[in-house]
Amino acid sequence: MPHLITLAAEQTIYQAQALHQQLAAALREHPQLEIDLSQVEEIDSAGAQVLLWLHRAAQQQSCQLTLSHPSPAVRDFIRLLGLQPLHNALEAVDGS
Amino acid sequence: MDLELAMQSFLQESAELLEEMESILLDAEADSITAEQLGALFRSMHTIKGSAGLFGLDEIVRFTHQAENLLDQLRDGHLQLDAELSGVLLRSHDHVKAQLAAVAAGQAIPAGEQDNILADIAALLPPPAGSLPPAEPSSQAEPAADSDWLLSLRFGPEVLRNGMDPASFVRYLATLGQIQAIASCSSALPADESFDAERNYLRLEMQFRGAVDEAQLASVFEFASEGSQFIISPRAQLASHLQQALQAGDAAEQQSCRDIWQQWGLWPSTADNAVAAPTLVTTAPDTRPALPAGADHKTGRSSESKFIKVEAGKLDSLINLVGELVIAGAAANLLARSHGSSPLLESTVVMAGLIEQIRSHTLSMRMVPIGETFSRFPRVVRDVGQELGKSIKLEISGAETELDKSMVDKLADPLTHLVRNAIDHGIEDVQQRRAIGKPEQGHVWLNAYHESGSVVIEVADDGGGLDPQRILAKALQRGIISSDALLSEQDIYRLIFAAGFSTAERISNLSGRGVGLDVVQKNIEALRGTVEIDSEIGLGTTFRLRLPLTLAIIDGFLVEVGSSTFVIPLETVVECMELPVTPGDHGRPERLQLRGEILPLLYLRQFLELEGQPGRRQNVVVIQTGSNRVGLVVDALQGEFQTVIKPLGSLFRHLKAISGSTILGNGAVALILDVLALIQHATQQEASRYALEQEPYPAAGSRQPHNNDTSSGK
Repeated sequence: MPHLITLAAEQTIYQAQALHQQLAAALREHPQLEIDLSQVEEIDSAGAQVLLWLHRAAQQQSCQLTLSHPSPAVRDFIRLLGLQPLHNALEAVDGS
Repeated sequence: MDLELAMQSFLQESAELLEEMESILLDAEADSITAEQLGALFRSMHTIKGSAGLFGLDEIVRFTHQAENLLDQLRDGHLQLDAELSGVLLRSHDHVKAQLAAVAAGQAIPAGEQDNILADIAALLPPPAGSLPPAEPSSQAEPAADSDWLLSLRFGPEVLRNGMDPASFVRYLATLGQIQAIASCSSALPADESFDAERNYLRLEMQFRGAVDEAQLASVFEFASEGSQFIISPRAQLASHLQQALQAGDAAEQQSCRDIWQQWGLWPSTADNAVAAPTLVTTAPDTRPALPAGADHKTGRSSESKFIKVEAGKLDSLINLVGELVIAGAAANLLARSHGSSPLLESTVVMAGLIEQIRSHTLSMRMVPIGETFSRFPRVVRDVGQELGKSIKLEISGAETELDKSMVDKLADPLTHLVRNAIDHGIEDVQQRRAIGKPEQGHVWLNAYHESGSVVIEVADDGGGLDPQRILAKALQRGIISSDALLSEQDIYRLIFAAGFSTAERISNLSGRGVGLDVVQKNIEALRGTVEIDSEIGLGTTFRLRLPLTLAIIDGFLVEVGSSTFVIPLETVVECMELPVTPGDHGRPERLQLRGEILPLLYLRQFLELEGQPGRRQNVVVIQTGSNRVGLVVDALQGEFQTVIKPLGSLFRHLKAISGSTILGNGAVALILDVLALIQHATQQEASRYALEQEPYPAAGSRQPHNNDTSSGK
């Protein structure tokens, strides 16, 4: 079972640092991570960057990362900024 | 920072100011215009100029500056308002209105008859003494037809920390035209621990189509922070754009941008380097574009549906109706209960639950976090700081504090004045700061929090503080006070709010024209708030705005006096106890001794002149604001109740002890007590009593009746 982390409603610059620390710790401890994005109601560039970082860091540390159940807010934001890596990561889940 | 929001509030504010200006100009007869009206005219241009400056709308700034000069002359009595002058002012009004309309529509600001008006203004003005040179002829082009643009946006690493979000710029661009393709390049983002969550690593590549010209596009990004680099070119200059765009940044960034442009089929497939070629082959044929063609419509729609602009009046009447619904629901519930029909009762209970939800949702619609207003200040601070050559750091806390939307709107103006004032007058020059051993960078704090049923907003600086002597001298010179006035320190600070008072020695673009602090106080008073000043010479000044939470939900404490129910904001209640009976004083001691401290008592029945006789047992509710405590004597305690504050009608506005009303579940009206006013009254009363008599007090520590008859007059 992958370790499940559900992100809170607001993921903006105000939470970015804490989120980064939380995810970095989780990354160290668990070989499999699932990030539930269904509760996210607000996200900004800082929040999205943390996800990008996680995506990249997980690849580097060969951690199996799943980004699941993106909320409309997350999908819209990814589309707004054309965040291709996150888009692909979500597509991968949708496809499976 | 949400640009669109800030822009919207600027446009709305300006429209209101212009409306006021027009109505004054149309109403006022030449000889009957009052000083206040002249002040309002001046202020409208002054404020629009200031705000327009924040958005980099230089054309408007230039024009309004001239109009402002004209109004300044008029206000000082150097000019008379005759038909000609009035005409020029009205034309100026129309022109600014047209300029703002163009801004709102995202079009180029029309040149129109700007030059004619400016010439007329110049003719009316006395020869300029050190004022700005007249505006140069505007060279704005006609609004262009739809054209295609290529954008490479390299936001600086500090944009996020400065409160700006690249996404806001993208959303704003989407309102100017159509974003045909967008992709983020995040090659700079490290995968290891060196990642800084508040640093921006994103670069955006974009294809855009819209009826804009290059200057307009450039101005969108004008106030992104330093360290940003934006390359914007027409589609026709593809080659040179790509060359420029792909030169920026390190090798990894160049490569990932190249990939993006290749995906869009804009980078020539005759790849000039071997690295790019294979990627092109593998990705080009069937990779979906970074942004599906229809996607920008979707984002456009979703941002549209996110916010609906509703007239505030409609919301008010909705809230009123919901209030009535609550009462009707409660009545239906009572009726069902008396009929004893359990299915009916059940359905009314379900309905009551729903009504409660509707009520809380409706109320929360009016509440917005003050952060929306705060978010415009990093820009204000940066610009004002730069203009004055001061390095300022702004620290914001409590941005999530919620208050009524209508108040948030009205606070923007006074807060801007206070922040500008803090930077201009509060914080010293760099040399001065260095000389007295302070850090070169000045600090300005914006802080908001809830306290005792009110919202407190603080604007603080670590500057030189207010100098009472200097204020006093200035006030004397201006004739605001007479030379024999005896004033406390607080009273002296308060003088800076007097109309026409300004200690600035020179007139800058920002302040020193005598507009400002008097307006701040008027605005805050109009919101039924107060302004306090704390200041320490050499250490800094704090302006503390205390505002009531009109229309907010507060936790109330219900008390009963006779047949009336009153609400005391729960935050101000410290404790409750039974009033000790002292037979000799007819059960009415004037104060209690509570754990060694004197507690003045205020009898609500007598104070509000309510009818009826107190019961055998009375209760004391100890309330507190700041360091002052007072015991309110009431008949009975009913407990906590979530209360919707309804402001009082204008007829009762002047009432000191009542701050609002609310409707209880059973439909009865309860008045909300203004704790601050009650405490002030009780402490003053106590102070005057204390001067007359000095006697021991009955102790409230024990609930035992007192046998010794100490408090009756001897």
